[in-house]
This record gives sequence, structure tokens and C-alpha cells, in this order.
Amino acid sequence: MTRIVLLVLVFGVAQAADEIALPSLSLALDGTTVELAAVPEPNLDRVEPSIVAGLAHERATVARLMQQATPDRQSLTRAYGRLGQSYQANSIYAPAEPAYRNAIALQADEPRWWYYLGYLYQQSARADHALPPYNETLRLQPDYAPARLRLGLALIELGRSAEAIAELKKIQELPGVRAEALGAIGRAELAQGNHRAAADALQTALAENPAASELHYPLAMALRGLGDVAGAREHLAARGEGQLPLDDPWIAAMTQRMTGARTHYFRALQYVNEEDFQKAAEGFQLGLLSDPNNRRARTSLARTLFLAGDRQAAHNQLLEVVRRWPEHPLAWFLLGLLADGDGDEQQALTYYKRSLEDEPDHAGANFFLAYQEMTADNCQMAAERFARVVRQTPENIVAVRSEILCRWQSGSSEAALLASIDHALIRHRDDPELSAWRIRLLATATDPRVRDPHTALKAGEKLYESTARPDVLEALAMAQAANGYYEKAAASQDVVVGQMMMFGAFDILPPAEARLERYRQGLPAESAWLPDDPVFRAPPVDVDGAFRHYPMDMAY
Amino acid sequence: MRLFLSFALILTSLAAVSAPPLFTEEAATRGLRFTQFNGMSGEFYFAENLGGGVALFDYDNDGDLDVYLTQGHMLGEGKTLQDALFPPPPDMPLSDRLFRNDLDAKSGAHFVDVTEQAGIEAHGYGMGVATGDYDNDGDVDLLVTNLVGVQLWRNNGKGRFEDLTLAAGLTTRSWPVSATFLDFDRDGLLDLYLANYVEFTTARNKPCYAPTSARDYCSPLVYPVGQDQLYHNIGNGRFIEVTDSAGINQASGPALGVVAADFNGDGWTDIYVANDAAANQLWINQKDGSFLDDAFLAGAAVNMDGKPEASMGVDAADFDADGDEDLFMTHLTGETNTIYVNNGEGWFEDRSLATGLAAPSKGYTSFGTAWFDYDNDGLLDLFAANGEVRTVPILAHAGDRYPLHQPNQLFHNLGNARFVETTAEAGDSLKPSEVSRGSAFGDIDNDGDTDIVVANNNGPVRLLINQTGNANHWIGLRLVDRHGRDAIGARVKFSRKGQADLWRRARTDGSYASANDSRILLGLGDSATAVTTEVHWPDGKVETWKDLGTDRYHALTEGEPPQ
Repeated sequence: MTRIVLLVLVFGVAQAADEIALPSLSLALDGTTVELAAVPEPNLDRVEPSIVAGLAHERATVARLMQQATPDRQSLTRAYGRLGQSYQANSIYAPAEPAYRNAIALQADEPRWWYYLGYLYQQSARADHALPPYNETLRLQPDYAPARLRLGLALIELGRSAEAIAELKKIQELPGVRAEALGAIGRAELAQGNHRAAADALQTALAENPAASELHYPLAMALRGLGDVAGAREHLAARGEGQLPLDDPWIAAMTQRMTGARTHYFRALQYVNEEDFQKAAEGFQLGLLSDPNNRRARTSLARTLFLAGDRQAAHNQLLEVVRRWPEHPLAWFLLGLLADGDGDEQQALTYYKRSLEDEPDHAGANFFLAYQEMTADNCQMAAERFARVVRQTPENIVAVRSEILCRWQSGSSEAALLASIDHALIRHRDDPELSAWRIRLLATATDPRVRDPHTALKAGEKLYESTARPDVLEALAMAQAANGYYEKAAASQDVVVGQMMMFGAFDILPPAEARLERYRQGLPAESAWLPDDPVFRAPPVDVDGAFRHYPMDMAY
Repeated sequence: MRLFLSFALILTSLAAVSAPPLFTEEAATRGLRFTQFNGMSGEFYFAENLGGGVALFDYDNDGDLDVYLTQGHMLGEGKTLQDALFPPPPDMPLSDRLFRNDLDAKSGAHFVDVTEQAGIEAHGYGMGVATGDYDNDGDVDLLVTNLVGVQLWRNNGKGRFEDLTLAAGLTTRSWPVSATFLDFDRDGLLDLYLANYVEFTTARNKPCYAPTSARDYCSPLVYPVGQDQLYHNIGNGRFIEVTDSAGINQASGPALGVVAADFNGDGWTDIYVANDAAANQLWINQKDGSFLDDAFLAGAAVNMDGKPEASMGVDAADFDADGDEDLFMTHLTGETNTIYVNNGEGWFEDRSLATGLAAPSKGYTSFGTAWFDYDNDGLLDLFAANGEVRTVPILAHAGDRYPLHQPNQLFHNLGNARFVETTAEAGDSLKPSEVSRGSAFGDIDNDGDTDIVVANNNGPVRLLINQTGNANHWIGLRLVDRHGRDAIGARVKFSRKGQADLWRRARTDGSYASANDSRILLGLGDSATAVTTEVHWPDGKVETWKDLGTDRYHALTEGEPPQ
């Protein structure tokens, strides 16, 4: 039987060089008969050639072993296992299953094949199928903690939270999986409505892994369930994609078999979402090995290198991009940011301007150029440039505010300023800073068409009721003073000054103290801001934020 | 005794074998002949796999549900039908179609294409449709969403429609998929919410790849997000956009689904928006013409893990009979469909795992959906119209030319906050694997149970006629408000002796790109006891009708005795 099948196999290979058939067969080995399933050759149209070649190599290895008169069981097992891994690593799941099944048929006591099979089912949204292979993995190797973790996760997916918690508690003290186990326990408890237990597990996991920002949301829901709305809001504000660490050497070994550039990029982007920039950079690097002319991927590599802490390597990659593709505004802009971050404003200026040569409306380059102009007291020009940024990205609240401040400082009329603030408040109606500025303006304007102390006071009281911030209280104090309530204004401003001292905001303290003194003397505020108010200073350039969040057309 | 047991077993197995299917597919035999053409040519245009939609509405006021279906056309500059990978059937016009239902008491529904006769010339690339009587003249008008903008078809009440898009001020050039008519300010006029997706043109189509590295359809995240739009109906057939002043501009996402309902129980209509791969919005009506989104704290922005999901279809209803509106949403393969359970004050908990709805949905990408009681047992069940948006590897590897198809699913509410999949019991009608998108729900043959129309992408429409629902008792309501139009948004409490109260809402929205029967159909199980209804009208008034008979429809008009 074996010989006949092997003849068919050889004939198949000879017939079509591109296709390597791996049909089902009964194989006599070591005195037993092993039933092997066919591993169908999938249609790989449009799949990257490097992946196709890698898979063909693995299939050929299996086929070559099968052609031997007496195939070596171990070698054949490994070959089928590698074939399964290669398919799985490249997200081609259907043929991976029979490949693993064959590896198991040949060597049922190898836990890895069971484990990969379970993981394959879980990746294919078949959690119910994953349970038996995971259980078998754990029977063969009870101390492989990632298998118990994944068993627990599969049980959670199936709504069997209590069983999941029981499994996960067995490993919650083990290094390497502790964090993931605690996080999963927290989510399972939450699914059962056990808010106290969920909060406890999630808080422990988060305390030990502060970068795991993905835990903030379920923790917020648990706290909300416990009636702690303020705590819930705090964690909602901190929610993110940062993942819990998991040390799983078997899965790491399998994913080494990714061979396509785009496959690497795809995975790299997943790591970016998970905020694991080191692994993301490795992914882009691996992809670029076979796809070196992908300028988008190289720019993404630079960004992830920077975010992983390797500024110099990021700089080198960006220089490489602009050397090979000089018309690449994003790369020039990122170079400008790096220079800006180093304090080399002249170099940054050059790079930003180079970026604008190819894309005059580049929001990032215009934004940071405007910052430079603001710092250089060229507020008129900065305002125009910020306006350009706002036209491109109206959601950019920092640009919106900066434009208004620059117009303010460059002498725009109070009526024009009020119109600008009102216009901005249409989109950003919940922005307390803009609202506070409006109050300042209404309280201190000299233009009678703008000045409206009564409205300012009402608005100030309402805003402070919902948003008790020092800057809002300072605006309210201005409104109180403008209405002649100097004692109230002084009391309010006294609180503002106290809070500034408490938080060490000494740079903005002098103008606040000056206003306090005026109120004590029964005088209103001189103006909304003093000319040298720190609010008019451009904040430091947030290179990290821009490298992390600046939008890109395509990542590769 | 042994003999008796054997006999009983045989009977049981015979009964199992001969159990009638829950639904039968009867589109073609009942004249509903329509095939959606998506205009694909191998360029993987982002929009091509997202249509179409369907509406069930009684355009001619003859008491039965007619059908409107949206159609696509060739996509891409310079592309002609010669470039189409799947050419349309030769006799299939490439424009939206209106089918009139000539319902016969004996033979049931029969559909006739009356598009031209009705004056409808819709030549946009059709995505979805919403229904509502925006001019309060007593007949239902149509709002069609297209890849570019909308078309508003005013029903003149005499069987014809007029395109009054521009006259109404609906000049948007955005890409809305779903839309809903709602009266958010209680002024008696239906306002309009457009759920806009992304800023896409075929000229700006981007190359994207599957995890396998093969070319594939993109995620919406590679395109700029569309800003949803809210239009206030100012009467005289005109709308004005109030997106900014209502605060809807404070948050946005790639919206695909929308449903309007009172989520926090304050009597005012709120809006829930299902965004694709981004946080959803729960716009709570502030009763002053503005809305506030606090979906994160409300627990309805993302799933219980804090992850935004694909959120295509959405529906709201009180599935657990506690008097508030719960949410069900359909998502992508690898995610689960999600059920958000309302605590009565507009705070939700993701109970997908505990209800058993998570696991069976994880292998599917679902679009159209609704809470509906297919067996009239008084418990709201679920349907999911499935079909991938990105290549299904196993189909692609098998050489499938449009490897996105999946079978649809049906879920039965067990009444204990658990659901079980009953797709297999639905019969052959749910076996076909197709690329389903919109779906609309309503009693097409007026026999007291809910039927379904499924709009397939690149495929024929399906009409799923409910075969068994009316084996149980039921009561149907058509609610008409004081302005003479369907009282969209009205909530009804049904009370029966010895039974828990049940709540239902008159609505046409929800699902995906589709519009449902505006009537309420309540399953009563095996009880034919008369029913008392307490109607909470959209304007805040409450009226009660006592001892309404079962197994029939009633028309309840605000301020008038029952007919």
C-alpha cells in the first residue's frame, strides 16, 4: 500500500513541478500502520513569492522523506510539524490542521503538536475545538504554563468563566504567565458580574505591569460596578492597547517561520497597537530584508526604532529614506522633529521647509514651524500657519488654541478674537480652556461690543461648577472682579494662587499674584493676559507623541 | 412498558424528522427577483463589498409590506461592464428597485416591480435605506443612502415618489450607510441622523493585504473618518443640519449602524451609533436640542475587554423584559457579536459570554440583524446576516472567485438570559453560503409572524417566510401618532393576567443599511388572553387600551379610541 501511494506521489511531483501533492496514505512504520491525512495544496494566488517558496520547501521536504523506502519516523514527524508551523505562521490555517494531525499520528506523545493544533483552532475562532488539544498538551507536559493559560482563555471565550478561573488560578503565581493569568481572571470575573474579584485581580495585574494599559478599561467597568464612578473615569482616561507580557517559547518558535515581508509588517503593526515597539521594529526589519525598497515600511521602521528608544537608528533610517526618495514629506518632517527634539532649531527648520516643498499643507511641518515662529515672537506668521493646520486637521485642539493665542498676541481686535473663540467652540464645545478664555475676554474687553461682565460671570460660575480647574477659577475671578465683586474675586484668586504654589507652577505664579493684588485693591484685571504671560510660550516639542501618533497614509 | 418506550421513541424521532422548517426561502417564487451587482473588477475597491440594503414598508397604504432594494453599479473611473468580474444578470436594471406586494389572503405575498411606475430613478451606488413619513402626510417616504450622498424620495400618497433631496436641503456629499428618522426634539416632525462611514473614492482606493500577504480589502482605519450628520426637520419639507449645534461633531467614527431609542429611560430619544473598528457613540438627548456622548462610562463604546469592534449591524430592544432597551451588535470574524445589557439608566454591561452569544458568532462576520420573536413565544430572538469583508482563507485557497461568503445564523432566546443557535432548525433557507448584508424584518404575509428579507452583496435577494411562528398566539399593533404618521419611537407595555409585562418599541431603524416593518408584533406563546397595552407616545403622552383581542392587528391612534 505504501509503495503504491508513494508511486502516485512521485508521479504527482513529476507532473507538476509547482505543485507538491501530499495525499492521504497508510504508512507502515516500525511494525505499525500510521494513517496520514492529505495536506491540500492551497491556492496561493497573490501571496508573496517568499512565502510560496518557503511553503514549497517544507512540502518538498515532506515529499522527499516519503519517497524513502523506509521513512524515518522522527524526521517525518518534524517535517510535518514544520509544515504545520509554516502554514500557521503565515496565517494559512486550513492546511496546517492536517499537517499537525499527521505529526500527532506519527508522534502522539509530543506536546508541541497538540499545543499548536489547539492554538490553531483558537486562532480560527474555534475555541471549542481547542480544548481537547490543550488538555492533551497539559497531560503530556503539565508544567507548560502557557498551555494552561490558553486553555483558560479558550474557556472564557466559550463562556465557561468559572472553569477558566479554576485553571488560571493554578498558574497565577508562575513567572512568565502571572500577569496574563491575573488579567484573564479579572476579565472572567467581570464576565460573571463579580466586580470586587475582577477589580482585585485587574488591579494586581496592573500594579505589577503599569504599561499594560489594556487593563484599564475592564478595571473601569469593575469599579463602575462597585459604584466608584470617579475611579472608573480615571481608568477610562488611561485606557490603551498596551498588553500584558507573556513568555511562550513554543509560539515564538512557530512565528519564526513567517517568511513574507507583508506578513512581518502585518505582525509589526499588531505590535505597534500593543505598544511593543521593540518587537514592532524587529518585524519591520525582517520584512525589509526581502522588501528593501518599501519606503513606507522603512519610515515605519524609523518610527518604531525611535519609540523603542534607539534615536540614532531611527535617524539613520530616515536619512536613508530621504536619500533614496527625496520627495518624502513625512520622512523630512520626522527628521525635523528629531532635530527639534535635540534643540537644533535651525536644522529642524530646514527639514520642515523641505517637507513643505513637496506638500505645502503638511499639517505636521506647518504645526511645528508655527511653534518655532511663536517662540521667535513672530505671532502674526505663526497664527497664519496654525490656521492652515486647523484647516487640514480641525480636530487638532492644540493648533486651534495656538492660533487664537497668536492672534491675541499679535493684536487682533477683541471682536475678531471673540468670533474666533466662538467658532472654535462649535467643534470643541467641551474644551474648558476655550470656554475660560471666552470668559476672560468678556470680562476684560475694552471694546463695548465685546465686553459683557454679566455673561462672563454666569458662564464662569457654570463652568467652574462642572470643571473645577485653576484656570477656570482664575477666569471666574476676572468675571467677579469685572462685576465689582472684588472680595469674591480675591477669594477665588487666592485659591488659584494657592493651587499654583501647591503644584509648583511657579512660572505662571507672578501674573496670578499680580491679579490677586489688584482685586485686593478693588481693581479689575488689567487684561485677559499680561503680554509676557507664559500661556503665550510654545510648549516643548513632543517628539515621542508625534512619532507615535502622527497619521501616515499607509504603514507599508 | 419496554414496548411503549420504543414506540414513544419512534414517534419522537419521526417528529424530529418531519418538523417543518422555521423558514422557507421564496424570493423568486413570489416575484422578488433582484440580484445586487457590486461592480467589482479586481481592484478591491473598499466600497464594493458593503452594499446593499433593503426596506420593508407599506408605500401604497394597502396594509401590506412592500420592498425597496438598493443596487450598485460599475465602480472605478473608466470601468465598464466588460471589466466586471461578475456581470449582472442580463435583464437586471442597475438601479434601486421598488417591489409592490400584492398580498392575497390565500396565496400570500406576491411582488411586482413597480420602480418606474412609482417614478423612482435612483442611480447612485446604493448602500442603504431608511423610512419615515417626514412630511406628516400619512404615507411613508424613503431616504436612500449612497456611496456619495443621499436621495430623499417623497411619497405623494398616490403611488408615486418625487426626488426632493435638494429641496429638503439634504445636500451632503458624504458616504452614509445607515440612517434613521427620529423626533429628537418632540416637535412632531421626524428628524434625520446619517451614520457616515469614511471618506472614500475609487480614485483614493488603497492597496491592503491579508495576513497571508495576499491583496485584500482594507480596514476602514486607512481612510479618514466620516462625520455623522444630524438634520433637524423644520417643517415645510425642509431639513437644516444641526450636527455642530447638537454636539454630534464632538465625536465621530466610521459609522455603519445606527439606532434611535430612549436608552436612559427619561422619555427622550437617544441615538446609538455603531462604528467600524472604533469606539461607538451613545448620544444621550439633553432635551435642549443637543446630545452628549458618554459611551465609555456607559459601557457601550467598546467590548468588555476595552476593544473597539467592527460594529456593522445594531438593534435595540428589551430582550430580558426588564423595561429598558438592550443592544445587540454584529461584528467581524475573530470578534464576537456583542450584547450590551442595559441596567435601566443607560449603563450597559457586555454580557456576550454569559448569554452564550459570543462563541457561535466568533467565526462569522455579521451585518444585518434584529431582535425579533420568530416563534412568538414572547422572547426576542436574533438573526445575523453573515458575509466576510476580507478574504476567507479557506475559500480563497480552494479557488473561490468571491471568497467572502458565509451562511446566516439564527439564535433562540431561552428566556433565562441565555441563547442557543437554531440555524439548523431553520431549514434549507439558512443553508446557502452568501455574502449577506442588509436585512429587514416584518410580517410580509400578515399572518402574525415575522419574515425576513436579506439583501446579498453580489447575489440574489432572499425572502425568508416564517412557517411556524403563528402556531403561537400573537398581537400586532400599528401605532399612529396625533400627526397621522407611524409613531416611530413609541414604546408599548403589554400586560396580561399572570404574566410579566413586556415592552416593545415601534421602529424602522436598526439592522444594517435597512428599514423594518414599523408595526409591533408581540408573541404571546400559548396564551390567547386579551392584552392591555400602555402606549408611551414619542411626545411623552401615555395612553392605555384594555383587553385587546389576540391573533390580529390593531391600529392605535394617539388620542382616539381603538379601531
